[in-house]
Amino acid sequence: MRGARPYRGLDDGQLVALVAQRDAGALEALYERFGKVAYSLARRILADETMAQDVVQEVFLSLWRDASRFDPGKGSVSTYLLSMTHHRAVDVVRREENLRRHRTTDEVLEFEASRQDDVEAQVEAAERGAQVRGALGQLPAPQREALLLAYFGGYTQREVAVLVGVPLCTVKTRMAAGMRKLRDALRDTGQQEQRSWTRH
Amino acid sequence: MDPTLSHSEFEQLAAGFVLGALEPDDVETFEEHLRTCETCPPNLRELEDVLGKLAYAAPAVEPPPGLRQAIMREVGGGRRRLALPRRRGRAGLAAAGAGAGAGVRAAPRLAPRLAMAACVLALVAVSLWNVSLRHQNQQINGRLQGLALAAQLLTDSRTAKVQLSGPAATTGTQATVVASSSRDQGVLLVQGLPPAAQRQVYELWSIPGGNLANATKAGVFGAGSGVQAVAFALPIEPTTVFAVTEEPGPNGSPKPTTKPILAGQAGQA
Repeated sequence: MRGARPYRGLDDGQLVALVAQRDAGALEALYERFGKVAYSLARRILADETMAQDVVQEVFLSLWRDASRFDPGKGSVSTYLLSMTHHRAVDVVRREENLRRHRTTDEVLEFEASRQDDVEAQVEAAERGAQVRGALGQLPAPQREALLLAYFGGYTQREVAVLVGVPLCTVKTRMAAGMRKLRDALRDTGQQEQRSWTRH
Repeated sequence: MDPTLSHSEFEQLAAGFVLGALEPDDVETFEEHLRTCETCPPNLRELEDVLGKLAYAAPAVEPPPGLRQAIMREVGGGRRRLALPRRRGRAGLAAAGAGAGAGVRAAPRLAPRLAMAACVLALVAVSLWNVSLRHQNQQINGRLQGLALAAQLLTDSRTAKVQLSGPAATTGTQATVVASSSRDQGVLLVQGLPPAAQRQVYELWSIPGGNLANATKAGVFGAGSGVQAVAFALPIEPTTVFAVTEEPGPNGSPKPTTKPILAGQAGQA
């Protein structure tokens, strides 16, 4: 289900405007749109159900408190929510060092192993996931590795350099090149698709 | 700005900055650069967009049902929270008072004391109740907060008391909006409203100029015994119309979907 019934026809920006007016139903509608992907991201980074729940709860409560500060000119609602989820989850994983000790870098990078299953899935989120994974798959392996270690592993550039065994400046270059290519690849998928990501 | 770095090197730092992967000294350097650079901020926004999309690469995991419930419980389970009073300087108060204009009747001097007394009595009564259900507690707390705000607003001589009329009023419902245009806050006090239809709730609207298309949600409530109090914080002008409609529960609608059963204009008070 996408959004509580009375809110279904509203776009994400309209829902945030209602949240700013203390409309809890609008917040719930946003949760229905982005709660699952936010939770999936937090679970991927933290590998801990309770901590992932805490992060997602913090993110949506933060939106509840500060919805009036949301500026649609600076990005979409999905970017706002999912970037916040990422930052908070990374903060936790860096604070809780033991979380990392239980994961190898291979586990962080294992996105390719599940790619085929998700491509075959006919659910909307899986299609989006397949698209992003497809773009990631097009990157040269060293760039993809640097990005995924930073994004899903929460490692800093210096830590990535140590893990991969290359100079720090090389990691910086790889991350920058990888992000640029992803930006172009996902932009090429078209504004039409992007609209469907944020309007349901 | 670090004079030893070229702009292309700053562009490289942008990716790590967005990913939260820069070392602290690099963060400082880049933030310093951002203060003066005109080309990096748009680039940064594009990269932030990529960051948001990368989330979809994570394998989908269904969140536990308790997560949604925990979030909604924290925000009050669909009820509008009472906003803190906004503070204004003297100039703001004077301007708002002038803006309220004619037609907004000053509240009687006795009203604040009566309202305060009613609030105190309600507090005492509630303290004696043995309320065990959380839902009931929330309702009572919301009502008390509303009564307390009404009492507070009525101490201002510019606060209006807007009597609402309509189909519901003919069956014995009494409804008044205590509205302060100087503070842009108000409280609906309603008594004798029959229970809403199954899976329906009552919704209070603030309608600038009486144009339903511009209606803004002011609160959702159910019928209950005694006086119901629904507090809100929205702009109030003499042309603002307050209205109550019946809407699908439990959260109501973003815009009115039925005809108002109660309505009244702030300026007619």
